[in-house]
Amino acid sequence: MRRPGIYAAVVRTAFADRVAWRADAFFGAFMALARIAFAFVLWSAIFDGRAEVGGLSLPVVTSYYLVAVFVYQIDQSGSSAEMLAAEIRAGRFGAYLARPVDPLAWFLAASAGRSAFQATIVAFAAALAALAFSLLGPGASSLLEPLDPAGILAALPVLISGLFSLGLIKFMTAILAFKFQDIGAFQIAQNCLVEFLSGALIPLALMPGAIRAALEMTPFPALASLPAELALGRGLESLPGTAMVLVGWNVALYAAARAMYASLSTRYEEFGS
Amino acid sequence: MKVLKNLRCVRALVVARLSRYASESGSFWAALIVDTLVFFIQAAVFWVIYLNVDDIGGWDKWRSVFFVGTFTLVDGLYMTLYFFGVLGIPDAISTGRLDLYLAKPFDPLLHLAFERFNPGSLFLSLPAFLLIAVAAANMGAAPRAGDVAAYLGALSLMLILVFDLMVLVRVPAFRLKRLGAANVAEGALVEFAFRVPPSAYRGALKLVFRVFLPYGLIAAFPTEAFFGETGVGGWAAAIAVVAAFTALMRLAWRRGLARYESAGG
Repeated sequence: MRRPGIYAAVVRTAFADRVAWRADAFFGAFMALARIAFAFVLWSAIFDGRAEVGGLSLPVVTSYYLVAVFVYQIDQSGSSAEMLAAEIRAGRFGAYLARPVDPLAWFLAASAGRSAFQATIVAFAAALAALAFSLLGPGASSLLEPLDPAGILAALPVLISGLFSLGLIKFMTAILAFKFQDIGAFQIAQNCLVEFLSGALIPLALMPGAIRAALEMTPFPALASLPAELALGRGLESLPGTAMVLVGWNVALYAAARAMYASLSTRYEEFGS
Repeated sequence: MKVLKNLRCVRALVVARLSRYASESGSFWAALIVDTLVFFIQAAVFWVIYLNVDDIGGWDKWRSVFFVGTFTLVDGLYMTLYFFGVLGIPDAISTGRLDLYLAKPFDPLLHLAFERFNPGSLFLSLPAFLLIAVAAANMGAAPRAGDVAAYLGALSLMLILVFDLMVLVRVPAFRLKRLGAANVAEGALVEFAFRVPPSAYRGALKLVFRVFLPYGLIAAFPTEAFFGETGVGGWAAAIAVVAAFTALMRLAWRRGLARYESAGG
Protein backbone atom coordinates (compact mmCIF):
# COMPACT_ATOMS: atom_id res chain seq x y z
CA MET A 1 0.00 0.00 0.00
CA ARG A 2 1.46 3.33 -1.08
CA ARG A 3 0.47 6.87 0.05
CA PRO A 4 -3.18 7.01 1.22
CA GLY A 5 -3.59 10.41 -0.49
CA ILE A 6 -3.43 8.68 -3.86
CA TYR A 7 -6.39 6.48 -2.97
CA ALA A 8 -8.37 9.47 -1.70
CA ALA A 9 -7.86 10.94 -5.19
CA VAL A 10 -9.08 7.64 -6.73
CA VAL A 11 -12.22 7.79 -4.54
CA ARG A 12 -12.88 11.40 -5.61
CA THR A 13 -12.30 10.61 -9.29
CA ALA A 14 -14.61 7.59 -9.17
CA PHE A 15 -17.28 9.71 -7.45
CA ALA A 16 -16.92 12.41 -10.13
CA ASP A 17 -17.09 9.76 -12.86
CA ARG A 18 -20.45 8.58 -11.49
CA VAL A 19 -21.67 12.18 -11.43
CA ALA A 20 -20.90 12.31 -15.16
CA TRP A 21 -23.06 9.19 -15.66
CA ARG A 22 -25.68 10.27 -13.11
CA ALA A 23 -28.60 9.27 -15.34
CA ASP A 24 -27.64 5.61 -14.81
CA ALA A 25 -27.53 6.09 -11.06
CA PHE A 26 -30.87 7.91 -10.95
CA PHE A 27 -32.45 5.24 -13.10
CA GLY A 28 -30.99 2.53 -10.86
CA ALA A 29 -32.54 4.23 -7.85
CA PHE A 30 -35.83 4.55 -9.70
CA MET A 31 -35.77 0.83 -10.38
CA ALA A 32 -35.15 0.22 -6.69
CA LEU A 33 -38.42 2.12 -6.13
CA ALA A 34 -40.07 -0.21 -8.64
CA ARG A 35 -38.67 -3.23 -6.79
CA ILE A 36 -40.14 -1.96 -3.55
CA ALA A 37 -43.50 -1.47 -5.27
CA PHE A 38 -43.39 -4.99 -6.74
CA ALA A 39 -42.43 -6.48 -3.37
CA PHE A 40 -45.35 -4.62 -1.84
CA VAL A 41 -47.71 -6.05 -4.48
CA LEU A 42 -46.47 -9.59 -3.81
CA TRP A 43 -46.54 -9.31 -0.04
CA SER A 44 -49.96 -7.64 -0.02
CA ALA A 45 -51.26 -10.75 -1.79
CA ILE A 46 -49.38 -13.02 0.63
CA PHE A 47 -50.77 -11.13 3.64
CA ASP A 48 -54.31 -11.14 2.21
CA GLY A 49 -56.45 -11.78 5.32
CA ARG A 50 -53.43 -12.61 7.51
CA ALA A 51 -52.20 -10.45 10.40
CA GLU A 52 -48.72 -11.99 10.39
CA VAL A 53 -46.55 -14.24 8.21
CA GLY A 54 -43.64 -15.97 9.94
CA GLY A 55 -44.04 -13.59 12.88
CA LEU A 56 -43.78 -10.49 10.66
CA SER A 57 -46.56 -7.98 9.96
CA LEU A 58 -47.05 -6.28 6.56
CA PRO A 59 -45.64 -2.92 7.80
CA VAL A 60 -42.55 -4.73 9.13
CA VAL A 61 -42.06 -6.57 5.82
CA THR A 62 -42.59 -3.35 3.81
CA SER A 63 -40.08 -1.47 5.96
CA TYR A 64 -37.69 -4.42 5.70
CA TYR A 65 -37.80 -4.29 1.89
CA LEU A 66 -37.57 -0.51 1.89
CA VAL A 67 -34.24 -0.66 3.72
CA ALA A 68 -32.92 -3.98 2.33
CA VAL A 69 -33.58 -3.27 -1.36
CA PHE A 70 -32.08 0.22 -1.22
CA VAL A 71 -29.10 -0.82 0.86
CA TYR A 72 -28.42 -3.68 -1.55
CA GLN A 73 -28.33 -1.18 -4.45
CA ILE A 74 -25.42 0.76 -2.93
CA ASP A 75 -22.62 -1.63 -3.89
CA GLN A 76 -20.94 -0.64 -7.16
CA SER A 77 -17.94 -2.96 -6.98
CA GLY A 78 -19.60 -5.06 -9.69
CA SER A 79 -18.98 -2.35 -12.31
CA SER A 80 -15.37 -1.99 -11.13
CA ALA A 81 -14.97 -5.77 -11.45
CA GLU A 82 -16.37 -5.81 -14.97
CA MET A 83 -14.00 -3.02 -15.99
CA LEU A 84 -10.96 -4.68 -14.40
CA ALA A 85 -11.74 -8.06 -16.00
CA ALA A 86 -12.22 -6.43 -19.42
CA GLU A 87 -8.89 -4.61 -19.10
CA ILE A 88 -7.09 -7.81 -18.15
CA ARG A 89 -8.54 -9.68 -21.15
CA ALA A 90 -7.86 -6.77 -23.53
CA GLY A 91 -4.20 -6.56 -22.46
CA ARG A 92 -4.57 -3.14 -20.84
CA PHE A 93 -3.76 -4.24 -17.30
CA GLY A 94 -0.17 -3.03 -17.80
CA ALA A 95 -1.44 0.48 -17.07
CA TYR A 96 -2.08 -0.57 -13.45
CA LEU A 97 1.42 -1.93 -13.14
CA ALA A 98 2.86 1.35 -14.41
CA ARG A 99 0.77 3.53 -12.09
CA PRO A 100 1.98 4.19 -8.53
CA VAL A 101 -0.98 2.26 -7.08
CA ASP A 102 -1.64 -1.16 -5.67
CA PRO A 103 -4.29 -2.85 -7.91
CA LEU A 104 -6.38 -4.20 -4.98
CA ALA A 105 -6.32 -0.87 -3.12
CA TRP A 106 -7.15 0.95 -6.37
CA PHE A 107 -10.08 -1.42 -6.97
CA LEU A 108 -11.46 -0.91 -3.45
CA ALA A 109 -10.99 2.87 -3.62
CA ALA A 110 -12.70 3.15 -7.03
CA SER A 111 -15.57 0.95 -5.79
CA ALA A 112 -15.87 3.10 -2.65
CA GLY A 113 -16.13 6.30 -4.74
CA ARG A 114 -18.78 4.85 -7.03
CA SER A 115 -20.71 3.33 -4.11
CA ALA A 116 -20.59 6.64 -2.20
CA PHE A 117 -22.28 8.42 -5.10
CA GLN A 118 -24.83 5.61 -5.43
CA ALA A 119 -25.53 5.83 -1.68
CA THR A 120 -26.49 9.51 -1.95
CA ILE A 121 -28.92 8.76 -4.79
CA VAL A 122 -30.29 5.72 -2.98
CA ALA A 123 -30.84 7.68 0.26
CA PHE A 124 -32.85 10.27 -1.67
CA ALA A 125 -34.95 7.59 -3.39
CA ALA A 126 -35.50 5.73 -0.10
CA ALA A 127 -36.77 8.92 1.52
CA LEU A 128 -39.17 9.42 -1.41
CA ALA A 129 -40.41 5.83 -1.13
CA ALA A 130 -40.91 6.16 2.63
CA LEU A 131 -42.88 9.36 2.08
CA ALA A 132 -45.05 7.67 -0.57
CA PHE A 133 -45.82 4.71 1.69
CA SER A 134 -46.61 7.00 4.62
CA LEU A 135 -49.09 8.92 2.45
CA LEU A 136 -50.63 5.68 1.16
CA GLY A 137 -51.34 4.41 4.69
CA PRO A 138 -55.05 4.20 5.41
CA GLY A 139 -55.90 6.80 8.04
CA ALA A 140 -53.59 6.91 11.02
CA SER A 141 -52.15 3.42 10.52
CA SER A 142 -49.10 3.69 8.26
CA LEU A 143 -47.95 0.96 5.92
CA LEU A 144 -44.48 1.33 7.43
CA GLU A 145 -43.00 0.27 10.74
CA PRO A 146 -41.12 3.22 12.32
CA LEU A 147 -37.33 2.88 12.08
CA ASP A 148 -35.07 2.98 15.14
CA PRO A 149 -32.43 5.80 15.02
CA ALA A 150 -30.01 3.82 17.21
CA GLY A 151 -30.50 0.82 14.94
CA ILE A 152 -29.77 2.92 11.84
CA LEU A 153 -26.50 4.11 13.41
CA ALA A 154 -25.58 0.53 14.26
CA ALA A 155 -26.43 -0.58 10.72
CA LEU A 156 -23.89 1.79 9.10
CA PRO A 157 -20.65 0.06 10.20
CA VAL A 158 -22.27 -3.33 9.53
CA LEU A 159 -23.12 -2.25 5.99
CA ILE A 160 -19.65 -0.79 5.34
CA SER A 161 -18.11 -4.01 6.58
CA GLY A 162 -20.38 -6.05 4.30
CA LEU A 163 -19.52 -3.83 1.32
CA PHE A 164 -15.81 -4.32 2.03
CA SER A 165 -16.29 -8.11 2.02
CA LEU A 166 -18.28 -7.98 -1.21
CA GLY A 167 -15.65 -5.72 -2.82
CA LEU A 168 -12.97 -8.30 -2.00
CA ILE A 169 -15.10 -11.13 -3.42
CA LYS A 170 -15.75 -9.16 -6.61
CA PHE A 171 -12.03 -8.39 -6.95
CA MET A 172 -11.25 -12.10 -6.70
CA THR A 173 -13.90 -12.86 -9.33
CA ALA A 174 -12.53 -10.13 -11.62
CA ILE A 175 -8.94 -11.40 -11.50
CA LEU A 176 -10.13 -14.83 -12.59
CA ALA A 177 -9.83 -13.11 -15.99
CA PHE A 178 -6.08 -13.80 -15.71
CA LYS A 179 -6.96 -17.46 -16.11
CA PHE A 180 -10.29 -17.66 -17.94
CA GLN A 181 -11.35 -16.18 -21.26
CA ASP A 182 -14.86 -15.29 -20.08
CA ILE A 183 -15.77 -14.74 -16.44
CA GLY A 184 -19.34 -13.57 -17.14
CA ALA A 185 -20.75 -16.86 -15.82
CA PHE A 186 -18.85 -16.48 -12.53
CA GLN A 187 -20.15 -12.93 -12.14
CA ILE A 188 -23.79 -13.82 -12.87
CA ALA A 189 -23.66 -16.83 -10.55
CA GLN A 190 -22.10 -14.73 -7.81
CA ASN A 191 -24.67 -11.94 -8.17
CA CYS A 192 -27.59 -14.40 -7.98
CA LEU A 193 -26.20 -16.17 -4.93
CA VAL A 194 -25.28 -13.00 -3.05
CA GLU A 195 -28.69 -11.42 -3.68
CA PHE A 196 -30.45 -14.48 -2.25
CA LEU A 197 -28.05 -15.04 0.66
CA SER A 198 -28.11 -11.35 1.65
CA GLY A 199 -31.85 -11.36 2.21
CA ALA A 200 -32.53 -8.79 -0.52
CA LEU A 201 -34.91 -11.22 -2.23
CA ILE A 202 -36.71 -12.57 0.81
CA PRO A 203 -36.40 -11.78 4.52
CA LEU A 204 -33.95 -14.24 6.10
CA ALA A 205 -36.24 -14.26 9.17
CA LEU A 206 -38.68 -16.41 7.16
CA MET A 207 -36.10 -19.14 6.56
CA PRO A 208 -35.80 -22.24 8.75
CA GLY A 209 -33.74 -21.66 11.93
CA ALA A 210 -30.78 -23.85 10.93
CA ILE A 211 -30.32 -22.09 7.57
CA ARG A 212 -30.68 -18.69 9.22
CA ALA A 213 -28.03 -19.60 11.80
CA ALA A 214 -25.66 -20.78 9.06
CA LEU A 215 -26.17 -17.57 7.07
CA GLU A 216 -25.47 -15.47 10.15
CA MET A 217 -21.94 -16.88 10.07
CA THR A 218 -21.35 -15.41 6.58
CA PRO A 219 -20.79 -11.77 5.52
CA PHE A 220 -23.76 -11.73 3.12
CA PRO A 221 -26.60 -10.67 5.50
CA ALA A 222 -24.58 -7.50 6.20
CA LEU A 223 -25.46 -6.36 2.66
CA ALA A 224 -29.24 -6.23 3.15
CA SER A 225 -30.87 -8.30 5.89
CA LEU A 226 -28.78 -7.17 8.89
CA PRO A 227 -28.96 -3.41 8.14
CA ALA A 228 -32.72 -3.73 7.56
CA GLU A 229 -33.31 -5.64 10.81
CA LEU A 230 -31.07 -3.29 12.80
CA ALA A 231 -32.89 -0.26 11.35
CA LEU A 232 -36.13 -1.87 12.54
CA GLY A 233 -34.61 -2.11 16.04
CA ARG A 234 -34.09 -5.88 15.90
CA GLY A 235 -30.89 -7.78 16.67
CA LEU A 236 -29.06 -4.91 18.41
CA GLU A 237 -28.16 -7.25 21.27
CA SER A 238 -26.24 -9.60 18.95
CA LEU A 239 -24.23 -6.77 17.36
CA PRO A 240 -20.87 -7.60 19.06
CA GLY A 241 -21.01 -11.19 17.78
CA THR A 242 -22.01 -9.99 14.31
CA ALA A 243 -19.12 -7.49 14.28
CA MET A 244 -16.63 -10.23 15.18
CA VAL A 245 -17.91 -12.46 12.38
CA LEU A 246 -17.64 -9.63 9.85
CA VAL A 247 -14.14 -8.58 10.93
CA GLY A 248 -13.04 -12.22 10.73
CA TRP A 249 -14.42 -12.53 7.18
CA ASN A 250 -12.85 -9.26 6.08
CA VAL A 251 -9.40 -10.33 7.30
CA ALA A 252 -9.76 -13.78 5.69
CA LEU A 253 -11.05 -12.41 2.39
CA TYR A 254 -8.33 -9.73 2.26
CA ALA A 255 -5.65 -12.38 2.76
CA ALA A 256 -7.32 -14.59 0.13
CA ALA A 257 -7.51 -11.69 -2.36
CA ARG A 258 -3.80 -10.90 -1.87
CA ALA A 259 -2.82 -14.55 -2.27
CA MET A 260 -5.01 -14.99 -5.34
CA TYR A 261 -3.62 -11.86 -7.00
CA ALA A 262 -0.05 -12.96 -6.30
CA SER A 263 -0.81 -16.35 -7.81
CA LEU A 264 -2.83 -15.32 -10.88
CA SER A 265 -1.14 -12.07 -11.94
CA THR A 266 1.97 -14.01 -12.99
CA ARG A 267 -0.11 -15.38 -15.88
CA TYR A 268 -0.66 -11.92 -17.33
CA GLU A 269 0.57 -11.36 -20.85
CA GLU A 270 -0.04 -8.53 -23.26
CA PHE A 271 1.01 -7.55 -26.73
CA GLY A 272 4.75 -7.70 -27.05
CA SER A 273 5.40 -9.54 -23.77
CA MET B 1 -40.79 -16.33 -50.00
CA LYS B 2 -38.79 -13.83 -47.96
CA VAL B 3 -40.05 -15.41 -44.73
CA LEU B 4 -39.01 -18.89 -45.93
CA LYS B 5 -35.59 -17.60 -46.91
CA ASN B 6 -35.16 -15.98 -43.48
CA LEU B 7 -36.21 -19.22 -41.77
CA ARG B 8 -33.65 -21.19 -43.80
CA CYS B 9 -30.97 -18.70 -42.76
CA VAL B 10 -32.00 -19.00 -39.08
CA ARG B 11 -31.71 -22.81 -39.38
CA ALA B 12 -28.23 -22.48 -40.90
CA LEU B 13 -27.14 -20.19 -38.05
CA VAL B 14 -28.42 -22.66 -35.45
CA VAL B 15 -26.58 -25.57 -37.09
CA ALA B 16 -23.36 -23.53 -37.29
CA ARG B 17 -23.70 -22.57 -33.66
CA LEU B 18 -24.27 -26.17 -32.55
CA SER B 19 -21.12 -27.24 -34.39
CA ARG B 20 -19.15 -24.53 -32.61
CA TYR B 21 -20.54 -25.51 -29.21
CA ALA B 22 -19.46 -29.09 -29.74
CA SER B 23 -15.87 -27.79 -29.66
CA GLU B 24 -16.37 -25.31 -26.76
CA SER B 25 -17.56 -27.45 -23.87
CA GLY B 26 -16.43 -24.82 -21.30
CA SER B 27 -18.93 -22.18 -22.45
CA PHE B 28 -21.61 -24.85 -22.75
CA TRP B 29 -21.24 -25.97 -19.12
CA ALA B 30 -20.91 -22.40 -17.85
CA ALA B 31 -24.25 -21.46 -19.43
CA LEU B 32 -25.90 -24.59 -18.09
CA ILE B 33 -24.61 -24.10 -14.53
CA VAL B 34 -25.56 -20.42 -14.40
CA ASP B 35 -29.06 -21.02 -15.74
CA THR B 36 -29.67 -23.91 -13.37
CA LEU B 37 -28.48 -21.80 -10.46
CA VAL B 38 -30.95 -19.04 -11.35
CA PHE B 39 -33.70 -21.64 -11.45
CA PHE B 40 -32.73 -23.12 -8.07
CA ILE B 41 -32.67 -19.69 -6.43
CA GLN B 42 -36.12 -18.89 -7.77
CA ALA B 43 -37.39 -22.26 -6.52
CA ALA B 44 -35.83 -21.49 -3.13
CA VAL B 45 -37.62 -18.12 -2.92
CA PHE B 46 -41.01 -19.77 -3.44
CA TRP B 47 -40.07 -22.61 -1.10
CA VAL B 48 -39.37 -20.09 1.70
CA ILE B 49 -42.65 -18.24 1.05
CA TYR B 50 -44.71 -21.45 1.11
CA LEU B 51 -43.00 -22.54 4.33
CA ASN B 52 -44.90 -19.67 5.91
CA VAL B 53 -48.22 -19.48 3.99
CA ASP B 54 -50.58 -21.88 2.20
CA ASP B 55 -51.52 -19.63 -0.73
CA ILE B 56 -50.64 -16.39 -2.52
CA GLY B 57 -53.75 -14.55 -3.67
CA GLY B 58 -55.61 -17.85 -3.92
CA TRP B 59 -52.81 -19.71 -5.74
CA ASP B 60 -51.65 -22.75 -3.82
CA LYS B 61 -48.13 -24.12 -3.77
CA TRP B 62 -48.57 -26.37 -6.81
CA ARG B 63 -50.12 -23.70 -9.01
CA SER B 64 -47.16 -21.46 -8.19
CA VAL B 65 -44.75 -24.33 -8.89
CA PHE B 66 -46.42 -24.79 -12.30
CA PHE B 67 -46.05 -21.03 -12.89
CA VAL B 68 -42.35 -21.08 -11.95
CA GLY B 69 -41.83 -24.17 -14.13
CA THR B 70 -43.47 -22.38 -17.05
CA PHE B 71 -41.34 -19.28 -16.59
CA THR B 72 -38.24 -21.45 -16.35
CA LEU B 73 -39.26 -23.16 -19.61
CA VAL B 74 -39.85 -19.85 -21.41
CA ASP B 75 -36.57 -18.57 -19.97
CA GLY B 76 -34.66 -21.65 -21.14
CA LEU B 77 -36.18 -21.45 -24.61
CA TYR B 78 -35.54 -17.77 -25.23
CA MET B 79 -32.05 -18.00 -23.81
CA THR B 80 -31.44 -20.88 -26.19
CA LEU B 81 -32.90 -19.16 -29.22
CA TYR B 82 -32.12 -15.45 -29.23
CA PHE B 83 -31.26 -13.99 -25.81
CA PHE B 84 -27.49 -13.70 -26.29
CA GLY B 85 -27.88 -12.51 -29.87
CA VAL B 86 -30.28 -9.71 -28.94
CA LEU B 87 -27.98 -8.72 -26.08
CA GLY B 88 -25.29 -8.06 -28.69
CA ILE B 89 -27.38 -5.58 -30.70
CA PRO B 90 -26.17 -2.38 -28.93
CA ASP B 91 -22.55 -3.46 -29.40
CA ALA B 92 -23.16 -4.20 -33.09
CA ILE B 93 -24.63 -0.71 -33.52
CA SER B 94 -21.98 1.21 -31.55
CA THR B 95 -19.01 -0.54 -33.16
CA GLY B 96 -20.40 -0.44 -36.68
CA ARG B 97 -20.48 -4.28 -36.82
CA LEU B 98 -24.07 -3.93 -38.00
CA ASP B 99 -22.65 -3.00 -41.43
CA LEU B 100 -21.73 -6.65 -41.97
CA TYR B 101 -25.32 -7.75 -41.32
CA LEU B 102 -26.84 -5.10 -43.54
CA ALA B 103 -24.67 -6.24 -46.42
CA LYS B 104 -25.98 -9.81 -46.27
CA PRO B 105 -29.14 -11.05 -48.05
CA PHE B 106 -30.86 -11.92 -44.76
CA ASP B 107 -32.95 -9.95 -42.28
CA PRO B 108 -30.24 -8.22 -40.16
CA LEU B 109 -32.29 -8.34 -36.96
CA LEU B 110 -32.93 -12.08 -37.24
CA HIS B 111 -29.29 -12.64 -38.14
CA LEU B 112 -28.08 -10.75 -35.06
CA ALA B 113 -30.63 -12.44 -32.81
CA PHE B 114 -30.05 -16.05 -33.84
CA GLU B 115 -26.32 -16.05 -34.49
CA ARG B 116 -25.65 -16.70 -30.79
CA PHE B 117 -27.95 -19.68 -30.42
CA ASN B 118 -27.09 -21.20 -27.03
CA PRO B 119 -27.87 -24.91 -26.59
CA GLY B 120 -26.56 -24.88 -22.99
CA SER B 121 -29.71 -23.05 -21.91
CA LEU B 122 -31.92 -25.76 -23.44
CA PHE B 123 -31.00 -28.00 -20.51
CA LEU B 124 -32.90 -25.58 -18.30
CA SER B 125 -36.00 -27.13 -19.87
CA LEU B 126 -35.34 -30.39 -18.01
CA PRO B 127 -35.95 -29.05 -14.47
CA ALA B 128 -38.76 -26.93 -15.95
CA PHE B 129 -40.51 -30.02 -17.32
CA LEU B 130 -39.97 -31.76 -14.00
CA LEU B 131 -41.56 -28.85 -12.10
CA ILE B 132 -44.49 -28.67 -14.50
CA ALA B 133 -45.11 -32.43 -14.36
CA VAL B 134 -44.85 -32.62 -10.54
CA ALA B 135 -47.17 -29.62 -10.12
CA ALA B 136 -49.76 -30.97 -12.57
CA ALA B 137 -49.68 -34.39 -10.87
CA ASN B 138 -50.12 -32.90 -7.39
CA MET B 139 -53.01 -30.74 -8.58
CA GLY B 140 -54.74 -33.86 -9.91
CA ALA B 141 -54.72 -32.36 -13.40
CA ALA B 142 -55.14 -34.89 -16.20
CA PRO B 143 -54.20 -32.81 -19.24
CA ARG B 144 -56.03 -33.46 -22.49
CA ALA B 145 -54.43 -33.01 -25.89
CA GLY B 146 -56.27 -29.69 -26.25
CA ASP B 147 -54.76 -28.36 -22.99
CA VAL B 148 -51.26 -29.31 -24.08
CA ALA B 149 -51.81 -27.77 -27.53
CA ALA B 150 -53.13 -24.56 -25.94
CA TYR B 151 -50.10 -24.51 -23.61
CA LEU B 152 -47.65 -24.94 -26.48
CA GLY B 153 -49.46 -22.29 -28.56
CA ALA B 154 -49.35 -19.86 -25.63
CA LEU B 155 -45.64 -20.61 -25.06
CA SER B 156 -44.86 -19.85 -28.73
CA LEU B 157 -46.80 -16.62 -28.52
CA MET B 158 -44.89 -15.59 -25.40
CA LEU B 159 -41.53 -16.35 -27.06
CA ILE B 160 -42.46 -13.85 -29.78
CA LEU B 161 -43.52 -11.33 -27.13
CA VAL B 162 -40.24 -11.68 -25.19
CA PHE B 163 -38.31 -11.19 -28.46
CA ASP B 164 -40.27 -8.00 -29.18
CA LEU B 165 -39.71 -6.65 -25.67
CA MET B 166 -35.99 -7.43 -25.71
CA VAL B 167 -35.46 -5.74 -29.08
CA LEU B 168 -37.51 -2.68 -28.04
CA VAL B 169 -35.27 -2.19 -25.00
CA ARG B 170 -32.16 -2.26 -27.24
CA VAL B 171 -33.34 -0.20 -30.21
CA PRO B 172 -32.49 3.09 -28.38
CA ALA B 173 -28.83 2.09 -28.96
CA PHE B 174 -29.26 3.77 -32.37
CA ARG B 175 -29.52 7.09 -30.47
CA LEU B 176 -27.88 6.51 -27.07
CA LYS B 177 -24.33 5.49 -26.22
CA ARG B 178 -25.21 3.58 -23.05
CA LEU B 179 -28.22 1.44 -22.25
CA GLY B 180 -27.24 0.43 -18.72
CA ALA B 181 -30.33 1.96 -17.17
CA ALA B 182 -32.67 0.33 -19.70
CA ASN B 183 -31.02 -3.03 -19.02
CA VAL B 184 -31.55 -2.56 -15.29
CA ALA B 185 -35.21 -1.70 -15.89
CA GLU B 186 -35.69 -4.73 -18.10
CA GLY B 187 -33.97 -7.00 -15.57
CA ALA B 188 -36.23 -5.78 -12.78
CA LEU B 189 -39.39 -6.24 -14.88
CA VAL B 190 -38.42 -9.76 -15.98
CA GLU B 191 -37.42 -10.64 -12.45
CA PHE B 192 -40.71 -9.63 -10.97
CA ALA B 193 -42.63 -11.24 -13.83
CA PHE B 194 -41.59 -14.59 -12.41
CA ARG B 195 -41.32 -13.64 -8.75
CA VAL B 196 -44.86 -12.27 -8.55
CA PRO B 197 -47.58 -14.76 -9.52
CA PRO B 198 -50.41 -13.22 -11.57
CA SER B 199 -52.86 -13.79 -8.72
CA ALA B 200 -51.13 -10.92 -6.91
CA TYR B 201 -51.90 -8.34 -9.63
CA ARG B 202 -55.21 -6.56 -9.18
CA GLY B 203 -57.09 -3.68 -10.82
CA ALA B 204 -54.95 -1.24 -12.77
CA LEU B 205 -51.81 -3.26 -12.10
CA LYS B 206 -53.31 -6.13 -14.04
CA LEU B 207 -53.87 -3.84 -17.03
CA VAL B 208 -50.35 -2.40 -16.80
CA PHE B 209 -48.54 -5.73 -16.57
CA ARG B 210 -50.67 -7.59 -19.09
CA VAL B 211 -51.10 -4.89 -21.75
CA PHE B 212 -48.76 -1.88 -21.52
CA LEU B 213 -45.73 -3.61 -19.95
CA PRO B 214 -46.80 -7.18 -20.71
CA TYR B 215 -44.05 -8.89 -18.72
CA GLY B 216 -46.84 -10.21 -16.48
CA LEU B 217 -48.18 -12.27 -19.41
CA ILE B 218 -44.99 -14.25 -20.05
CA ALA B 219 -45.58 -17.17 -17.67
CA ALA B 220 -49.13 -16.34 -16.60
CA PHE B 221 -50.76 -16.77 -20.01
CA PRO B 222 -49.40 -20.28 -20.77
CA THR B 223 -50.29 -21.35 -17.20
CA GLU B 224 -53.85 -20.07 -17.61
CA ALA B 225 -54.08 -21.65 -21.08
CA PHE B 226 -53.06 -25.04 -19.69
CA PHE B 227 -55.76 -24.90 -17.02
CA GLY B 228 -58.39 -23.73 -19.54
CA GLU B 229 -58.85 -20.33 -17.87
CA THR B 230 -58.20 -18.11 -20.88
CA GLY B 231 -61.30 -18.40 -23.07
CA VAL B 232 -61.68 -16.84 -26.51
CA GLY B 233 -61.45 -13.31 -25.08
CA GLY B 234 -58.19 -14.10 -23.28
CA TRP B 235 -56.63 -15.54 -26.43
CA ALA B 236 -57.80 -12.58 -28.52
CA ALA B 237 -56.34 -10.13 -25.99
CA ALA B 238 -53.00 -11.97 -25.82
CA ILE B 239 -52.73 -12.21 -29.62
CA ALA B 240 -53.61 -8.51 -29.94
CA VAL B 241 -50.91 -7.54 -27.40
CA VAL B 242 -48.27 -9.67 -29.16
CA ALA B 243 -49.28 -8.34 -32.60
CA ALA B 244 -49.14 -4.74 -31.35
CA PHE B 245 -45.70 -5.19 -29.77
CA THR B 246 -44.39 -6.98 -32.88
CA ALA B 247 -45.55 -4.10 -35.09
CA LEU B 248 -44.06 -1.57 -32.65
CA MET B 249 -40.77 -3.45 -32.53
CA ARG B 250 -40.46 -3.62 -36.34
CA LEU B 251 -41.31 0.07 -36.63
CA ALA B 252 -38.75 1.04 -33.98
CA TRP B 253 -36.08 -1.14 -35.62
CA ARG B 254 -36.72 0.37 -39.07
CA ARG B 255 -36.60 3.90 -37.67
CA GLY B 256 -33.38 3.05 -35.88
CA LEU B 257 -31.85 1.68 -39.09
CA ALA B 258 -32.82 4.89 -40.88
CA ARG B 259 -30.71 6.83 -38.34
CA TYR B 260 -27.80 4.39 -38.42
CA GLU B 261 -24.64 5.99 -39.80
CA SER B 262 -22.48 2.85 -40.01
CA ALA B 263 -18.84 2.53 -39.02
CA GLY B 264 -17.61 5.22 -41.38
CA GLY B 265 -20.21 7.79 -40.34
